[in-house]
Amino acid sequence: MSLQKLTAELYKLFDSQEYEQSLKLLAPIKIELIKHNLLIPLPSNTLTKDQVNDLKIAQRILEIGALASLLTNNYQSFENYFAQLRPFYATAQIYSKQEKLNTDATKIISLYLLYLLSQGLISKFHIELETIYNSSHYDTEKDKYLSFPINLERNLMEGNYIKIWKLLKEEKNLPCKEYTHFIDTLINALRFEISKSLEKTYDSIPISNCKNLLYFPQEQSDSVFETILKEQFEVDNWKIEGGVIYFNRNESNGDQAEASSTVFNALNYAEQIESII
Amino acid sequence: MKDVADTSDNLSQTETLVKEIEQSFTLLAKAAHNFDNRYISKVFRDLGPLRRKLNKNSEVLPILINKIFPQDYTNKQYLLEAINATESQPSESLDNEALETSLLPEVQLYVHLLVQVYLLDHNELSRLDTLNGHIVYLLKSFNRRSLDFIQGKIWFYISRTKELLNDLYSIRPELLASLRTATLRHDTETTAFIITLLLRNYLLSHDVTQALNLVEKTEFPEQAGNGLVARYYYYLARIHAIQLDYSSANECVIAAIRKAPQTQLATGFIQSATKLSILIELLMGDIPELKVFKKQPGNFEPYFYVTKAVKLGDLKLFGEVLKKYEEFFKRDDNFTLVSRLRQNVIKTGIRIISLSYSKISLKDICIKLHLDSEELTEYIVSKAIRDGVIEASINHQKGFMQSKELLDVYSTKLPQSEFDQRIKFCLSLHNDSVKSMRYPSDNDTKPETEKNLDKEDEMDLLKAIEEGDLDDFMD
Repeated sequence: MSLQKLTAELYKLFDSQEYEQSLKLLAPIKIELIKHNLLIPLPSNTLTKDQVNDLKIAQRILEIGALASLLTNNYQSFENYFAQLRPFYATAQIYSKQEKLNTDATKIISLYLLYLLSQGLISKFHIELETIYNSSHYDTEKDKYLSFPINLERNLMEGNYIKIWKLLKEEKNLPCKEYTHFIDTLINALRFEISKSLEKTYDSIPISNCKNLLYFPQEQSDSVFETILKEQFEVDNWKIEGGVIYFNRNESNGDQAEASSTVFNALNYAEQIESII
Repeated sequence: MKDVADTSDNLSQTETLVKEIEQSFTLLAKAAHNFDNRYISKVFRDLGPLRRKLNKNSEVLPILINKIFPQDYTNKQYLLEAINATESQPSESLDNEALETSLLPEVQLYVHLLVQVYLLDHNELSRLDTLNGHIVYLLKSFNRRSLDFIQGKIWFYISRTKELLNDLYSIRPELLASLRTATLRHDTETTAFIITLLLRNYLLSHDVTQALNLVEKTEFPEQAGNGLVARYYYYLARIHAIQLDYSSANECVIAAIRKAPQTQLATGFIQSATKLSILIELLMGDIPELKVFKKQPGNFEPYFYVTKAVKLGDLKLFGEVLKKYEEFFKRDDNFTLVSRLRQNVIKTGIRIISLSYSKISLKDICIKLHLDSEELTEYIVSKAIRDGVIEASINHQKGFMQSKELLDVYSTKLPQSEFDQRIKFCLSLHNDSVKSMRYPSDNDTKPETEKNLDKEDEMDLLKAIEEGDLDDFMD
């Protein structure tokens, strides 16, 4: 099949939400793209207008790949597609002529940011952010897609968990439907964050209050709550007794001065001084 | 009459300059024959003043090139073209010895370097770019250790040209290729130069991932000049800061400031390093001292106001400062770092409260910090405790925060390890100085007079090395 036909079919499948099918179709398409030297934008293939147009189609194909793998919960392949899309977003020739044509770029970038956030890869998140902020293509503060993960991260770092909870809970706050895929992982990440803070902060806390703080429904029975805690969060040092959670803090005594290390250091200095003299 | 005097004055000046450059050729030749790169350092020490003189006098280079290179020398053509001069017959044919000197690769490259600098100073970028193409080709044809110093510098100007032309991508393959060659040849000077150039290139295009990969996969040569080490550390600090690894970033930026030459030429570098250092210190939750802002000339005002807002824990003031100086921070490429400080403003606020009260209700904290609700306060305080900003605990039922009693630090390992660190620093300083000492070789059988001469030479060279290779900081 020729590239045009394949592409047309891909568009059709994607529009009718047959994501699994479109993913299968993408493998032969990518091979065709490589044959036509369109998979990677290079200075050599962005010279004429036709070439740029072809590359835009290639970009759209990859974007479909990214969205489809996301919608089928295939995060690994989402990451791969994003890596392939990155050079497209960085190449100015493609970008400058498509302002109105395709606004999926910011959407996909913001989904990727969200993905990093839900995986707890904060430093990667910031590296990505550095590129976005300094690229002239995006209006980071005003773009509805981009501002969402940025706000989320800011609130997460501040400890403003209420705001995050509100943002995540109300679907109308979400700029597009793909975001719903991250909601569950994000809520889990949020609860994990809170539980880590809790165990450092309190000596003990009643279970009902704890449920409140972690945004679990109050009706949930204590035993179910306990198993969820044990399964999802690393709460080995939480002890539940009579409706109260106690946090075992085994304060390490490693800070205390140890005789052996002191002696070792002193001997080391003596050796050095001897060599100087 | 006056005109005539002027021209003759100019003429004599040109002659002395040509002489001066020719003198440096003898040094270069010495370096080539003795395999002693210190002679080249000496030549570079004079490059700064020479550069300024050449800048004013446009006749020197054509005369020089016409004089020293023979007619059939292929590079002569494009060198002259680059500086817009015509070929002229040399008045006297060169004798054999002089010819040998002028065709040494060291001398050839040095002349190329002079032309590069001249074009850069006159802002003839497109011409310089064409010339650079030839130079890269020429560089590849040589493999001599005595060229290392000159090569590094030439790469610096090539990369700088591309940067000024706003063409960051096309130079990368060349740089990477020459990095590989330089590493294989154990050419530390060029390696160090190119690593810093690549890092600069990546950071200018905000390609932090690439920069990070480069840092991980290469080893920065230890023996590189101080100026280069300072630069390398500065870039490292930037990368670490973006990755939120503030403590490593802080170490690097301090090393960068310390290693930077303390002269007029490096002011710009020290300024931007100081700005970065202020931000990193703030991000770590410390407040920089007031004298940091006043020590050097330069516009630290925005950074001062940011620090003030963080110190007061005042979110409103912080927002205003951020808005007012946004352009300024963006120009310094620090905007993302500054906007990360927002969370620190709140944290310092909490810290101040925890230091002043041993016990305080969450409601009061909420009011003091202008937060939305008590519930939110609880989350934020508990986050602060988890991040180690304060030592405290919360009583949920009664709704108060209680600060922990301060531990006696002298009962812990802390003083010991601090002490250990300092001793290790002193010892390594001692060891390094021992290693860098030079001893006269034992089998020295030269007559006394020659020895004295050598000594003078040696002193000169040492001075050159001490003053170092500062010229690049001019840009």
